[in-house]
Amino acid sequence: MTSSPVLVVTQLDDATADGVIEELNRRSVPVVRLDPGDFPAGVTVDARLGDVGLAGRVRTTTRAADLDQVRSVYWRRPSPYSTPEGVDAQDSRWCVEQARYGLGGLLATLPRAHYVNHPWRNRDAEYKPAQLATAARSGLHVPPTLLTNDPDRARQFTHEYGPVVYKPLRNTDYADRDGHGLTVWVEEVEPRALGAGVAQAMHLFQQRVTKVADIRLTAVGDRLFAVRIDGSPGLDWRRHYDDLGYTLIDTPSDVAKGIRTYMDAFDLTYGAFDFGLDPDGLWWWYECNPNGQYAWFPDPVTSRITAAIADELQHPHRDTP
Amino acid sequence: MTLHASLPVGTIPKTDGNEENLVTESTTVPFGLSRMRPFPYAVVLGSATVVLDPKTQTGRWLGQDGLDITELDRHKRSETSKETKTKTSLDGSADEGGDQQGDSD
Repeated sequence: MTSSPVLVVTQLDDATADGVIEELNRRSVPVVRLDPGDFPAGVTVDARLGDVGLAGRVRTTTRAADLDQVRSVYWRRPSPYSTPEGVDAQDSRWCVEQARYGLGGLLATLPRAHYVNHPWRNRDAEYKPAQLATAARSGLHVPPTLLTNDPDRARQFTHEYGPVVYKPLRNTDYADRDGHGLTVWVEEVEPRALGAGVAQAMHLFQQRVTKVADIRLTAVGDRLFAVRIDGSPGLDWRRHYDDLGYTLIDTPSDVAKGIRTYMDAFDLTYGAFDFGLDPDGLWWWYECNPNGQYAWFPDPVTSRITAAIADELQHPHRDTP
Repeated sequence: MTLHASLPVGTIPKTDGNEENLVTESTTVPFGLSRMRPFPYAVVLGSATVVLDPKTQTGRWLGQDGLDITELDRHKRSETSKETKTKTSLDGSADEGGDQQGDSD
């Protein structure tokens, strides 16, 4: 096993992956870093399939890996598939889809690899309705939530459960006319703002949790790193990084059990869970980003998570009973 | 622009550059889009280049002078709108997992 590499699938510009790779280097674990966006110019594939299963090689400009020897895959932030120079838009889309289903399919099918996380499991786990239903089934406390495009139902929900917040079902790049990025922050919804616009798209409304603090719990295999986040002057702490304080705390056993069930349901090794802590000490589950960031935490926390991820990648079967 | 005043809360005129649409059809904006807000800040630092160190397989961050950027500056740089953030949804790029760059794999 000592020669079988860890494959890190990410773009070049990824300081978080750099940290994990540095840790693997310290442990003398071989690493091949690959960005699918470098295909076809910077990635060459030679994969054979038949009675023996999947074999062959993938080569980057600096390293090569035997497809059946990869011990684990760290799936981070790959850049989009690209196309050869001088190809028009339609042909370009064709090339991209060939790459996605070909190279992407291979990278998701490595026979011996342990995935942190498998990209298709990430995709499944990114659907909020599936998250909400799975969290509730896993015994986690989920605030009352409504998905609707019916303005009347939305208003009724705010009367029944108000105050409520609105959350998008997916975050995608969005910019104003000057190209400045915009996003939706978690804020309360005024019932009178719920007009015909609700009918124009799918919307998610959720009862606002009365919270005394936020919790970001990063799960790596069986290890849980729960960080209490204090000091956010607004509902959405992601808007106030400079004001935040972080404290590592213990995870109550019922929450830990719920997280285990949730991760098993989606077949995840890694997950970034967000909770609101109410005055009674109850952890209200908000969401789980299966590929969430963690490296902004103060160093003692970040380096522990980095080491836990490196453990998963180095010893793929450590969680196997 | 008087059109704005006559519209109910949460709507703006359709502005797709088509003047005919603007005059004859004011489109109700999806409620969620009416909640779009700027990011808190976006520090713009001098341009940097990231090159792959073939030996370590990590990114080497080079400043305009071609010299290595220190660890501290690298993390600072990671908080700008130009480059990968180590934070979650800080400024201008959605923090969604497998799909970070519009690649659903």
